[in-house]
Amino acid sequence: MGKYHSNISSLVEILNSLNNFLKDYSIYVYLIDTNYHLIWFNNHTRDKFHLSEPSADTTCFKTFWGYSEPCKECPHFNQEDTSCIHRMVLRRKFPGDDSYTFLELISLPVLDSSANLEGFLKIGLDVTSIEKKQMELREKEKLLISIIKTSSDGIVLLDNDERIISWNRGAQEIFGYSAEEIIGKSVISLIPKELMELGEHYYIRKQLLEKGFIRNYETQRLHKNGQMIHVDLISSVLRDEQNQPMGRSVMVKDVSARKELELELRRTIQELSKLNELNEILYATTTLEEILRIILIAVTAGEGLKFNRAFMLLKSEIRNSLQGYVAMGPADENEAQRIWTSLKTRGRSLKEIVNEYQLNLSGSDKVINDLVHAIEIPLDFKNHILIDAMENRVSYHVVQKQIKSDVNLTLEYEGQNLADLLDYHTFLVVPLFTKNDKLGVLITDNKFTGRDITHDDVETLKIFSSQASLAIENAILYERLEDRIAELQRAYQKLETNADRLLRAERLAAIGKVAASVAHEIRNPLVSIGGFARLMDKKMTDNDELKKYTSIIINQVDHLESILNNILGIASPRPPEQVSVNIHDVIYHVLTMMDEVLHKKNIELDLQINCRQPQITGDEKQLFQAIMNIIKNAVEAIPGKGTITIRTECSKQFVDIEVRDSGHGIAREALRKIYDPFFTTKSGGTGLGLAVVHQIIKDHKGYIEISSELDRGTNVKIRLLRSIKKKKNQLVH
Amino acid sequence: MKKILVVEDEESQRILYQQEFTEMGYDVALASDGEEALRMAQQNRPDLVILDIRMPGLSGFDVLRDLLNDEPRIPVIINTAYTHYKEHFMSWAADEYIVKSSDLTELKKAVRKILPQK
Repeated sequence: MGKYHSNISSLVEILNSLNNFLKDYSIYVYLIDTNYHLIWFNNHTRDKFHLSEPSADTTCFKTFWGYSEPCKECPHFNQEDTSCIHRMVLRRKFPGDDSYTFLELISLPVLDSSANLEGFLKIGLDVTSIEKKQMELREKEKLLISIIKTSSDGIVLLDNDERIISWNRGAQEIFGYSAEEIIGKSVISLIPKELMELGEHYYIRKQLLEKGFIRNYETQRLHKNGQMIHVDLISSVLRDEQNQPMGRSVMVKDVSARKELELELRRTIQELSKLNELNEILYATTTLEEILRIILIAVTAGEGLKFNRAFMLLKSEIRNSLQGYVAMGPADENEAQRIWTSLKTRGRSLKEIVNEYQLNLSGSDKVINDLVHAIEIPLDFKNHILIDAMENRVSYHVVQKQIKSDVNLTLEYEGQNLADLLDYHTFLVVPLFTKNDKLGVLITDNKFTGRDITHDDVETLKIFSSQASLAIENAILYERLEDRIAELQRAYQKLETNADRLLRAERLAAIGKVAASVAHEIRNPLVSIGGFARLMDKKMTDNDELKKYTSIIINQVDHLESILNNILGIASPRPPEQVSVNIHDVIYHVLTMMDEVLHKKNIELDLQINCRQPQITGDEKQLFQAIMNIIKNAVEAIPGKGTITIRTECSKQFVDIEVRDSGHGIAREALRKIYDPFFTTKSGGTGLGLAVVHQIIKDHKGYIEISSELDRGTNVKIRLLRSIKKKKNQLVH
Repeated sequence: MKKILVVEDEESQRILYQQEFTEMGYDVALASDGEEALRMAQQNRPDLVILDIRMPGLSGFDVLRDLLNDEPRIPVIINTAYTHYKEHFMSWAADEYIVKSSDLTELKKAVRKILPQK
């Protein structure tokens, strides 16, 4: 030790005297020279390292740690500035120890009188327990930091002024801002203006103040790009050691995707309920026209599927083509605007909308209907997009005149592009079909809003169109059913009237049989009565007083006999004989018979015979009876003086006989029943006269027409088939 | 004098016909039923038979059938109250078919046609 002097040697002396004082402290004190030789150490050091006395040829690193060279931490060895105090912490295993000890070492340079470095005084303290705690803390901190860093949730720290002081990667991903961009700025810049105005930020702060935290708070925030994002927030107040608030932490979870799903779900439910509502309306309607209208309204109405325009094309079996049937939509933008605003402000339920829409469109959908009516494509033009859509039951999306599927189809027919016909380049084609039938196609577009047709639109329209197809098929079936029912009803009515007629005919036949037998029984005595009356009449001289009585008997019997003839004509009609008859002869015959009456009643006869050979084939007696009845009626219709006009006319095929009187005419109601047997307007009439005429003319395959005007007279026209050049009385048998 | 046999079940008519045809200058024989008619036709050999159809016993058609067998050359006028016998095939065998009427003009015309007077 002797060769050292000055400071270091005096230091050793001081240390020696301190040694005793230091002995109770577990503090390491030692002294080395610039060559790391141990010059001095205290007792604690000696005991801890099991040392004897310091010797000049032992170095500190060798003695303490068994190293062959100085410690890496050594400032001297590292040639640091040794003129000042250094502090370091060494992590070392003490001899015999298994675990590491942390040693805090303070190195004090020792200088001689001329300020040359002589050595170092080292004072060391065991800081293992402190150091370990700190390390744990550091580990924890590291962990926390890495958690914060890697979290996909945003973790943000705010100071008391709501300024952002920490911003992790999660936050960056959620909001789009990098930490550099946002730190120091107020958190308010992330809150949408509307929510700020609603006082959301104030509400959050109030909650935090009262409870210290908020949890699962769902709201919206602004992304850097201005878009709204749905977030879930957790925030708690941060306090310092004095329990004073120093800011708050915010954990942000991006729930946009979930929100979207929720919205999507809600929309789907709405859509479904809309479809359901539509279905209800559709099924309550049964006429095809109305159903087609409702479908189109549903497709185009604001609350419906919201397309701008819709076109319906249906298959026509008769024309073998797909034909534009009906369309709906405004004619231009202005009208679209008008309709949609009015719908928005007034329309409520879908039913109301259907009604409103129809009102609003009245008249104006002519333009669009003209468009659709111009479309017709033959069914065998299989290459056409519409035919293919219907036949193969597929939907097609056409964008800018290009079909958005890989198919070899065309939009053109006869040089006309469908898009041009529809006057818009982007549209959707959806087939209308049912299990049994291909009905047609539905075309929709958004000509006025230009809105893109989304996948959702396509799907909804598909679902809807299948429902619509069912309704259409139902309506078609229903219409057919209605036709069938009407047909059945008609058939049934016919059956009923026929049954009525049959019954009437049967009744008449029964009456007829009785009448016929009675008539025959009466005829025999009449022969005697009338016969003898005539006989008597003949035998009387002209001035016999009794002669007027016999003539009364004769007339009355004649009258009775003519009634009998009519009854028998109705009750037991017989087919007419087929003999050539000259109608003029028949008329003259009748007129001869009637001569007396005509004279007596002062009736003028106007005969207009315009036919040369009025030959017909038939039964002379029956025709006689028919014409007799007609002329008798004419005579009876004339109350006092009057005229009867009889006119005949011939054409190649027909003989026309017309009997016109200037009598009282027949009332309209009576005219309808004029041929009914037993219908009469005359007192003492049998109601058989015209019935017999009708029967006879019918049996002769002729035609009779009676027109009359009250107080002016009646006109009877008969048309019979003319037989050419057959000799009279040429019997068939 | 030409002889007419009137076959008629009604007495009043028989009287009427006898009166009328006698006045016309014919010899008139009367039969009130079918059997009598056939007997008289054989006995009296009439030139014309005026025959009613509906009679008790043999009907006019029965009489006509037998007449056609026994005396096919005697002409027959059917004179009946019924129109529908005209379709009966037996009626075709008769020379005339005249429906009874109080006005005997038609019947007389037919008689005169078959038995013209000089």
